[in-house]
Amino acid sequence: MLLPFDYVRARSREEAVDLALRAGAGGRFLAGGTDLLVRIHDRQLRPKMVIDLKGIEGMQAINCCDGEGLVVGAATPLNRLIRDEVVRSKYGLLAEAAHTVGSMQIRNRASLGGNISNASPAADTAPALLLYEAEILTWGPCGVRKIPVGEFFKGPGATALGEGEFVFKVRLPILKERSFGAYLKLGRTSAVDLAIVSVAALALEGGEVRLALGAVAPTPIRVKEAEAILRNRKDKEAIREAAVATRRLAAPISDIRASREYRLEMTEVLTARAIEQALAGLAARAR
Amino acid sequence: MAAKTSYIGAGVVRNDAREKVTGTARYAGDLKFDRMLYAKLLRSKYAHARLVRVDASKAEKLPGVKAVVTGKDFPYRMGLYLVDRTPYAVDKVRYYGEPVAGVAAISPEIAEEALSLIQVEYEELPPVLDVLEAIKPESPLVHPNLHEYEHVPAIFPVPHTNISNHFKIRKGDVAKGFAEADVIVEDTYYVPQIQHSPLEPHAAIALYDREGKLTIWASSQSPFAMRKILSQSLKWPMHRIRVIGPYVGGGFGGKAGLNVEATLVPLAMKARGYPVKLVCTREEEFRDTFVRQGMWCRLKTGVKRNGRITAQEFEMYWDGGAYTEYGVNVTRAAGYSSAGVYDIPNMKTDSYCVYTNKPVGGPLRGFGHGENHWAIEQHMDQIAHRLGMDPVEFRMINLQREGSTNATGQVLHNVGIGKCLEEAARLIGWTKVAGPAKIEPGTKKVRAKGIACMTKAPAMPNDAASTAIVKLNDDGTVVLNISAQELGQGAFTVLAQICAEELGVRYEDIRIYPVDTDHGAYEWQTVASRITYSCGRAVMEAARDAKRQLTDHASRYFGVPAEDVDVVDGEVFVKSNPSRRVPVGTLALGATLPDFSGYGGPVVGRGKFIPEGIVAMDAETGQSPKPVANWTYGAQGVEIELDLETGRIDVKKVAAVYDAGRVINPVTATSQVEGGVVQGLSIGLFEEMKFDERGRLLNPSYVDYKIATAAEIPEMLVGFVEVPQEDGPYGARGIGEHVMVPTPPAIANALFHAVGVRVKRLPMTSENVYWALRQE
Amino acid sequence: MIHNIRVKVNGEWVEACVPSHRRLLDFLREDLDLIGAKEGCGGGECGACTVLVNGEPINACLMLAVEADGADVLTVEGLGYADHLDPVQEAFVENSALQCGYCIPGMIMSAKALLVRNPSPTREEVVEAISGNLCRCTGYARIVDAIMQAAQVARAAESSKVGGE
Repeated sequence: MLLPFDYVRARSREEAVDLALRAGAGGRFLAGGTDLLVRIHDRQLRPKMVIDLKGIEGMQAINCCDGEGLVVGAATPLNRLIRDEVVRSKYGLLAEAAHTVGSMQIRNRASLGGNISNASPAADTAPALLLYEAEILTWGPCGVRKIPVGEFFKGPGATALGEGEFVFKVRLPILKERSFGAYLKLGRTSAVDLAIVSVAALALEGGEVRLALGAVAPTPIRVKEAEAILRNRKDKEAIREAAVATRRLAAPISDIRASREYRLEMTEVLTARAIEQALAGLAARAR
Repeated sequence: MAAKTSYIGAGVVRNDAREKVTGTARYAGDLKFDRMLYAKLLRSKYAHARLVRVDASKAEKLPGVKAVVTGKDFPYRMGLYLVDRTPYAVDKVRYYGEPVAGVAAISPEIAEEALSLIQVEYEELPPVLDVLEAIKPESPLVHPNLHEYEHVPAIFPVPHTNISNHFKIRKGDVAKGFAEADVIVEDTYYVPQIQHSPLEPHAAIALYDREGKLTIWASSQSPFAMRKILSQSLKWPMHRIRVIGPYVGGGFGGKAGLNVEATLVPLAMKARGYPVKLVCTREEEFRDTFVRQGMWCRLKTGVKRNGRITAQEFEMYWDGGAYTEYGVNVTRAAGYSSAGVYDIPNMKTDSYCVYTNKPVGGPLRGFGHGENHWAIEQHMDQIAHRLGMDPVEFRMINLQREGSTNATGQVLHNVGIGKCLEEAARLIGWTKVAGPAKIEPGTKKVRAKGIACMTKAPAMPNDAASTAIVKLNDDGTVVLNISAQELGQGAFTVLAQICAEELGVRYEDIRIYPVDTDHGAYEWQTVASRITYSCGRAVMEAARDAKRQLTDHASRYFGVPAEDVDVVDGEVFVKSNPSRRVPVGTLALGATLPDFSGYGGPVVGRGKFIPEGIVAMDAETGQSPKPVANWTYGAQGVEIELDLETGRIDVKKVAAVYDAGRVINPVTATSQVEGGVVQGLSIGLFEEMKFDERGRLLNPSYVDYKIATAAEIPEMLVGFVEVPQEDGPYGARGIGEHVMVPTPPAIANALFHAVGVRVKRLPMTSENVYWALRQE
Repeated sequence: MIHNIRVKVNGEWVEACVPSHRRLLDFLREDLDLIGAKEGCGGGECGACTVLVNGEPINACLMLAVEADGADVLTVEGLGYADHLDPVQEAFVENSALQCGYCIPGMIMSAKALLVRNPSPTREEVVEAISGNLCRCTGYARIVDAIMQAAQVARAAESSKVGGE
């Protein structure tokens, strides 16, 4: 049972913003609802108005490759993203990461925009978006803003979104090189769990290896200092060094899911594994 | 002539299956009545505090609110074994989450709003959160009036302490036993509080009608026990209380006795004439129903070089929580089974049930045995390792066998554990081990096997009884009136099989209806893995009684001696001339004789069972020639894969073998074992209730209290041994709880064989294992 | 706020007035008396409330009734009757893939959606499809067996149909 609130289905971006500004602190945007409704159910949130964004044109569309790269409507359910052929073939790391979110039922509702707007440090799609250098397109009182994903997350639960502003689309630039990604998530159970630590690695044909982490800092983070180690060396020693460097860049907390110390140790372990898998995958793809 | 089909040992389809797959099966929360009100409870925000003032006047005035109650309105103490618990806190709260007030309103939304209008003033008291602190003389008392509480004779509270039960075993001469030992092994172990977590949260509806009768529909394992507790507490005759129990969506002990239903009673009495419904939220389910008690223990064992155990000393301290009305019996059961499956000549056991300001401890599948076997079965491996012996071989030397005595001094007969262990070892592919494997540098994952045994008896009063009534309908179909609950364990299926077998009717023609204490045959409780054994015997007797009546009708009808008549597959026939036959329906209401006169009358068979010859244990020594109805034995072998870099354990395979005495239905029995193994695995690897320093439960949800998902299931090999139980139906005894007990210690033993590391504290999460690996 | 919604439930269009905060689960259970979908946690973690919306399994506790306006909703009641079971239900019965039964309607709906999307799933795919459906009784093995069997039966029926033409 939920406590009463009003629900409005916005018909346009403008209307959504309008409603949100009028509702003020009592307003909440709704996309998939898999986070919002849980928080309302748990009595952590008591909104006056819930503004559904799914009726806005383009919010659930996936477009690709007209020079802009991949553009995903923010309310697109993750399962649709995962099953999209272009996403699977060209942005496989995002599909893989999205696949680890919740359960089948959750992924049929949870959206890409919601996953990042909640700004959980453990958001599974965030490391992949960081590595694809995604751009977050928001719509707010001042119209469109384009925010590099690296500047989007501000802290646990905090984003660059202003009052009345919501994520409208997520754009992933075209990757010209062949690439292979690996997303390793350590949970407590094998399925349907939040990450204790997650590591994404994306190996590019040109020699670059990109690395990003989830659940080990106030926001998902990319670790370019560690990436630099792998710029020209991919041997076991370099991988180990990159993993150690990554661990130094992590700043996890202790919570009910794991201790800070364990997260640090696992950051190193998973980073090495993710790099190895990404490199091996790329090599196999090149063959 | 049709050959007699035997239903015993047949894997017939569950008789509740179609109802359940179509979504038509009704559970308490699915019931709805006209004028129904919705209850919500205001719960304590302190683990230990004096209630200074509870002011519900504003809530009472909220439109739509029909009743508000607080502890002062209903200060009746209740309890199954120790009468220590009120439905609502009266003078003080004893755990974070304890009900302080209740509201019944016309909608759940209004009920919840009303809760926010109740003002409570608390005076915080120092919480008692650590069981080892709680036993110290200077500890604050959770129940200063413990000495005034009524309790059953088998319970021994220690007045003016936090100890609500002290159970003792004194067998042989422990000092002498240790003196004889060549090696002494001593260690400590811990299990945290865990939750049953049935998928169906507790739900109940209570109606106090104009006649003054209280009817409760509840998701309950114990309709009759619930009636008894309420009757004793309210001093009402039992006919004023009726409990109806639809299907239970999983119990595991959490729905035994009287639980959240008690909070509805005063609400229903105040909102007289309105049915009042309470459905627990998942948060309440985790924290405010029963939980499995935490337990810290110290175990010390003396052993000779030849592997023979000479003495054992065992101290268990149970983190019983705020009320131990049911939990006291868990600590008793764990005490009298403290030898595990071993023959130990000299024993000293002290099992203490201790009050703390934590959620209420109670029965959970295994009833103390998951806890004490976590210690015993690791300990046995530790001893074997110290002696340089193979753990299976070491166990074989010490196993209870014909003529052995257990902790209570009971001389044992027909002991099946040897066969169970042998078979479990065979199924898992056991090869002798002496200590941990050697790991090559650079290896990331290792595999290893572990083994553990268990035994458990039904922990119940000596007068826990069952009855059954078999009624024939006009057409020969059958109503089997029993009050065992179908919790998913397959009770209805197995009992119908027994009835079909004995009566000679088709299994499909037997119906069992939900429990109703007004109309149903008496049943103590559906707990203790006792239904097949106890109710099964009652059904057997009732069906035989009905068959005798049918045979008598047939004898007159056919004009042959009763011995010349049999009933098979729904037909009654003359054995010497099988062409003379009629359907059971023809004789169900009596026989119509050739002159059209009637004979006999409607067939009603009755049966009853009480385990006989159980003798109370001595208060000082715990000794008794027969302390319990029976013992079920079992063994499990596991194979794990350990990720050395993360500490993650992946259980690959589990072999589980139990001595069921006689397997009535191999399909339901096997599926019970599978379910138990996975629950055991889940408890072993994931489950722990975590509290903050003020006693607040931090993980009352599936987000942070993980249970095994489908992604965790191992390959499961299930086997049965059949050493008959002499008073069980066809030799059967219970296995329902036993099947999850040895899984955690078997995994722990496998972990040791993998890397020489022991995690003596549950659960074996990746992190806990990882740090253990690093310490090594 | 009250909304007038029109939802196709188990093949029949239903019109109703619902307040904004009414969950699809409450709408089904309380307003339509379709009690097959159960509430196990209310937080999308247990899957007992799984129903299909436009063919996809979702947690009915995490969807508002008003969001289902215009949608096609299938619950376990829309599958089969005791004497005429859906092949998935039949397979659960045959494999004894149930105990207390509380998770079963949701489990069956997850299975149904999987088999419609993927008639030849691997065991891993079955596990993935139901890993959001918690079961405390069965240990899952028989449930996976049942779903694999239902898939096989459906494929056999399909190929015999083709053969008959």
